[in-house]
Amino acid sequence: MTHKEPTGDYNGFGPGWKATGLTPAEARRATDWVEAKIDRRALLVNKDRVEDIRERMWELEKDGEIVVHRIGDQHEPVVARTLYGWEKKIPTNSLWHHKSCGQCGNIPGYPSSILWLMNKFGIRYLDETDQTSCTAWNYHGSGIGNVVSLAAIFLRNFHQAYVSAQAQGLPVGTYYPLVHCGTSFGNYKEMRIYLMHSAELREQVRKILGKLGRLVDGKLLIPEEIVHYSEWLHVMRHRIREHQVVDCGNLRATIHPACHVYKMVPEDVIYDDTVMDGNRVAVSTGLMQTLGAQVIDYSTWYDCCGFGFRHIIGEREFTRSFAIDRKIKVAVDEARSDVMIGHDTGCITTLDKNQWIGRAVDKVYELPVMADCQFAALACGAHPYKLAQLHWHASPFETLLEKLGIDWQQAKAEFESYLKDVADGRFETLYDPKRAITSGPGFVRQQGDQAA
Amino acid sequence: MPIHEKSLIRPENIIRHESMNLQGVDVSGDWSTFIGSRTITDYNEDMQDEIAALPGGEYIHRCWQCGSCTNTCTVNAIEARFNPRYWIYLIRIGLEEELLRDKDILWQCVSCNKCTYTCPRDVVPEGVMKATAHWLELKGHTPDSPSTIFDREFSNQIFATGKVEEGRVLRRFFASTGQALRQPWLESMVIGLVSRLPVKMLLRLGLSAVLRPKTRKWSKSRAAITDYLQQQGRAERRALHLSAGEGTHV
Amino acid sequence: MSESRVLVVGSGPAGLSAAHALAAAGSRVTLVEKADRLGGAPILSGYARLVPSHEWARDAIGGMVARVEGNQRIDIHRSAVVENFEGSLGNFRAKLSNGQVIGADAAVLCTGFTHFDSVSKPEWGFGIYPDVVTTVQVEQMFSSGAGVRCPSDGRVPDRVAILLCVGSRDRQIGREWCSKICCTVSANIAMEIREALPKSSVYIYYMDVRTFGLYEGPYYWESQEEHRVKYIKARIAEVASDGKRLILKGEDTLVKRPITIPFDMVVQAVGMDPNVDNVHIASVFGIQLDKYGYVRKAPVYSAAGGTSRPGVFVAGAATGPETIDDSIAQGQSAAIAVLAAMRMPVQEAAE
Repeated sequence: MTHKEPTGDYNGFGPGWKATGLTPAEARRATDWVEAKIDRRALLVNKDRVEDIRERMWELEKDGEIVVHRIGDQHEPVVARTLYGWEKKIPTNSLWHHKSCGQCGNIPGYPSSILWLMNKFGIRYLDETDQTSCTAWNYHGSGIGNVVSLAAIFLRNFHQAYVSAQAQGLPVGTYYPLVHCGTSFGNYKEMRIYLMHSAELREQVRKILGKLGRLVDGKLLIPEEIVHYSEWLHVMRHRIREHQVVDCGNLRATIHPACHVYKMVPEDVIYDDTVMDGNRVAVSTGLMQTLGAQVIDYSTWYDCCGFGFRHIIGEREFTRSFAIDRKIKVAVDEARSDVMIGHDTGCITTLDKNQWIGRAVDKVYELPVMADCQFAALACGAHPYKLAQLHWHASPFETLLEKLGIDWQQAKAEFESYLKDVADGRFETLYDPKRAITSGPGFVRQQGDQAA
Repeated sequence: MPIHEKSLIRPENIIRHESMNLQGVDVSGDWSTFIGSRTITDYNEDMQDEIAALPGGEYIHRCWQCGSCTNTCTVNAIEARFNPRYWIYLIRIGLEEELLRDKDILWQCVSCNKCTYTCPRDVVPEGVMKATAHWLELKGHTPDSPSTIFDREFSNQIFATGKVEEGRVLRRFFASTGQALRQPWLESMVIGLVSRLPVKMLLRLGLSAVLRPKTRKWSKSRAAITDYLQQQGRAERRALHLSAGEGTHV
Repeated sequence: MSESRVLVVGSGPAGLSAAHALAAAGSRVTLVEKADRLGGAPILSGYARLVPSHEWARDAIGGMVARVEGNQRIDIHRSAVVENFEGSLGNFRAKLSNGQVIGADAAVLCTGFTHFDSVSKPEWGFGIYPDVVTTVQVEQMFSSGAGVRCPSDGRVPDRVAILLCVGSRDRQIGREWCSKICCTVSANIAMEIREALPKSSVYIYYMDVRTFGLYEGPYYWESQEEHRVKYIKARIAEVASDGKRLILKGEDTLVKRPITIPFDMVVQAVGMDPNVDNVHIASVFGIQLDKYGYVRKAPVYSAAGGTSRPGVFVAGAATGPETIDDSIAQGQSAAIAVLAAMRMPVQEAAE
């Protein structure tokens, strides 16, 4: 064996890159060196206990067991880095909206803000009715989980996303699912891990989906990535900045990172060295910083909101106490926060709607709470009532709007006159509502779609 | 909406209004119930030194939490909350609020000293129990117990005269604890005494009750004892950071 | 038999001890040190007073350095590493990064350890809050004469927390070993802080206290009895800030209650990682590492200080967390093992 002399520092893959001709041992050494020096979390890589589930997915696809719904060029993906420095593809176009029960029911300004922003960027999407609840609220709330049913619902919804484009005469896979809800997001990631690990579960789910006609070539369809809308906002943040019309510079924002978005399946969560040095989850924080707001750290940043699934329904005493004492009070007293930004249905609901009853124990904080997408829409000039629908929020937001230089009284007057129009049957929509229906009796194939 | 796990929440942490109306909305009962946090937010950094300054508490800092005192304890065998090991930890770390929760149990120590015998670190837990009970009284956390009042009457009489006159102790004890002087058991005891004791002795008893005899040349001893007690009392109050009028007297 | 030639790699306590012992026994020693000066971690990281002697590191280890530097039989190469190492017992050839080629009958690796990098545990706030420091930084505050001050504003801390097992006994980050010395070092630091700042309070948060052997008295108990250091059984979950002071969050396991306690300064008792260059060192010297990444020791019953390759010996923290005193002892022990191996190359203890 000839021994090659080391050639000094390892220079990486710059413009002047050429093959180094390293022996395998030297290459291993170089890699170890890079991992030790460059990526401070590298010590976790190659540990038996940390598994990249996507690798198992590729194996199963190779073995002919599953089909992977890939993120293609039409989805214009942007690559983000997750906890261990792994890459995650975030699709930014041709998206299929997987809606959230709680958002549509409690915080209607939440999904409307997402759709409004997409309209602004001219993004092609499908917001169709043919989808179901993920049922994970019951799973976490009751503690009685039926994994087969949860996994089947997961794949049923994602299969619909896959085939939905056919209604428009487009090829399957054109639209990629974008999950609005943090609970669904966490649940789907958990179910994907179980599916990849259990042949028995795959077999049971295959039987169910077979009956529903939701297999692809007789195989389960698994998404390449499970993507949350907050990840889409994160990779779009610089483009959102280009449309910003409201100055957020004197705003002190606190972030509430949702448990099921970033604590569950932590290896799939985006961290970015440019966002708080990678010490905090990047989504929402990165967006707020890009919009110019000051993101203020506070001592209960990591804490849960108190939603608790079962507790928000059956033990509100716990939920409201936790939400106020551990999050709202701290954000106001410590961080002197003007607004708290979240990225999940349950957290926004909990942190917002539990504030009013605080006056029963003289804990009145009046901290506006909203989703990152609602704030981004406001920053880009969206109507605070018609679009962001802040009037559904329980905590007062008028002072915040004043701080942003938005005339809420005028906006309110506009909204009240618009309500009269609505009563007369004249209302605006974000897209042609017929497009929400892609099959069944009410379905009308759109002219434009066929041409697309 | 009931709190399902109410048994897990300390009753003092449940904040409830049986009748409440907020901005025209009836939020009585469960609708406005809050649960206070059980988080410890600070230490009382003086606590260990305060207990150590009282007789019996000197060696508390030696404890390493092995639990020998508790596992030999006479009282712990029937009262799970009587746990010297735990209290010593609370005192050493300064978790005053947690200790005060047990202030009504702590005095149950029977002073059997099994703990003193078994402690591998010579902490003398029995002494720590005494010091802690004393600390609770000095700080005003516990009202005077009947035995404390009796003890005070008894001692004060000795300090004053060098002698004890039981009848007087009893009378004053009953007066300061709000008990009637005429009690059946006392009456039957007095009747028994009168009917059985020699007349001469009865006369002496009667005279003592009226005249309050003193030990001869007691005034010098009284001055020395009073001086010592005041000195010790001042030192203890200083160690416990008590100003005049704070806490209770002894 | 001509005088033996031995290569010693690394000049911390183990390397200085091995080099001195070998030279004293008549060998010629080549001492190769990566840094630009000798002394290893105690000198390079600026340790203050050592356990258990309470001597200043610069005096104690400095004395060992002076003794080696003044020895004619020891040839010292600073700012140099071994790039290539070939041959066998009695006939090795090492090429150094400064271009020199050295012949050696045997080699002793005294390549030490690397301090755990606390940024790998972001929830404990190192790198986020300036007043979260490591035991190494506190050592430097003492050894530099600057005193213990909060880095954020230079104030004297009223209340200091020391967190044990940072980078030790933690599966989350792949470090499943006890670093052995941190409990004692922390007790030592706690006493030094209380001496320097008598008005301060010092708390040590622990899972177990492992001030092993005779350290029980002068460290574990003296810190409590004489210096009123408080030991609290809680592994801290999180270090946050309320914008003014640091907030420690965890569970007091003996009271079974959560704690959120304010502190001025938090000291992380960082553990001992395998030398960050161990993969490189192992491939250059053709030796094996253990599953943790430390140099694998040969069975101790046949030859103390052996590695997986005959003629290559090891001493000190290169094989796992080790104290300074034991590293010095192992340096001398490895020196004897080298001399014995050159006289009787193959003899198994078990035979």
